[in-house]
Amino acid sequence: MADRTALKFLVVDDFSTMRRIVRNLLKELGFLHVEEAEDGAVALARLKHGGIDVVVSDWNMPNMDGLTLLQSVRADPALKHLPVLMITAEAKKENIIAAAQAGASGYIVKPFTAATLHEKFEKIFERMGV
Amino acid sequence: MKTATKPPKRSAPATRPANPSTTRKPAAKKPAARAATRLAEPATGHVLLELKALAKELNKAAKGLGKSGAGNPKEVSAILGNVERMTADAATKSLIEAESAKMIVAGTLDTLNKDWNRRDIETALRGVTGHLTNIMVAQEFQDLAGQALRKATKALVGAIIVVEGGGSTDEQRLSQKDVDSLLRELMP
Repeated sequence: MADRTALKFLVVDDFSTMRRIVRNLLKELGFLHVEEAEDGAVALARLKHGGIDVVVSDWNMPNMDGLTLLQSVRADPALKHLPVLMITAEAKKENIIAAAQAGASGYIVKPFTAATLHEKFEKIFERMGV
Repeated sequence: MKTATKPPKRSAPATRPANPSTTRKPAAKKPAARAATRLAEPATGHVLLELKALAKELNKAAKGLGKSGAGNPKEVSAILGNVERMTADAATKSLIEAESAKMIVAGTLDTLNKDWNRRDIETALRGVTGHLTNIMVAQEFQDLAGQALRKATKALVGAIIVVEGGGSTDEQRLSQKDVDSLLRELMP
């Protein structure tokens, strides 16, 4: 089994506090390689450079929102395999449906707990085979 | 001999009354790079004190909103903006404290080399770590508050009211459990 602690994460959220929270929670789970982006456009540019294994993204962001980022990732042959976990305050049924149809790997509504984040990552890793 | 002629009287320039919305409030303290000097302080207690101070500030801001904000969208906008910045600063400071405390805990765990009651100490330290994690996760309020404040600002200045991020009613918002159920249906 591949060493999952070597996985590289990209955390995307326009609120630096939220990026910091997710970074710290990932650190607690043993994941030390974490990069950040403040909106979907910056994130997509970073992803196209390669080297990122998992994306954690908010929905509401300036320049490019999380749903558009997800759709862009799924439309890019080089990126479409990437797991994308949405962490967002958007919690209406139509949002969940839109994210599922766009290919989200998981969906967490804010406010969330460390246990929820851990559980969703475990599901993603199972599918990744790590 | 010429007599000096007095210049025509000029009316005193109108002075603007102090406008609370343009009066600068003192800049919020930057998150201090003082973590190193606080290594000896009980980190958890300090973080809780910071959170209490934040709650007092928010209460003050809310009172100010009620007194002077009514009917003046610009003032309300400024106040709301300050609340957002203040919560961001407080959240950052709290997180720095929490991170420093976690470093202490990690260092202590690594250097434990005495057998006396070591298990108890280790259990207690791990408990503290878990508590500190909860403090960090609690800072989510800053994100949600910030989104709500942005919506309020947009509404007050007459911009397009966009229902986003927590704007739906409680009845429309799904819980994490509902989200998980729905996703299982959509993605078996």
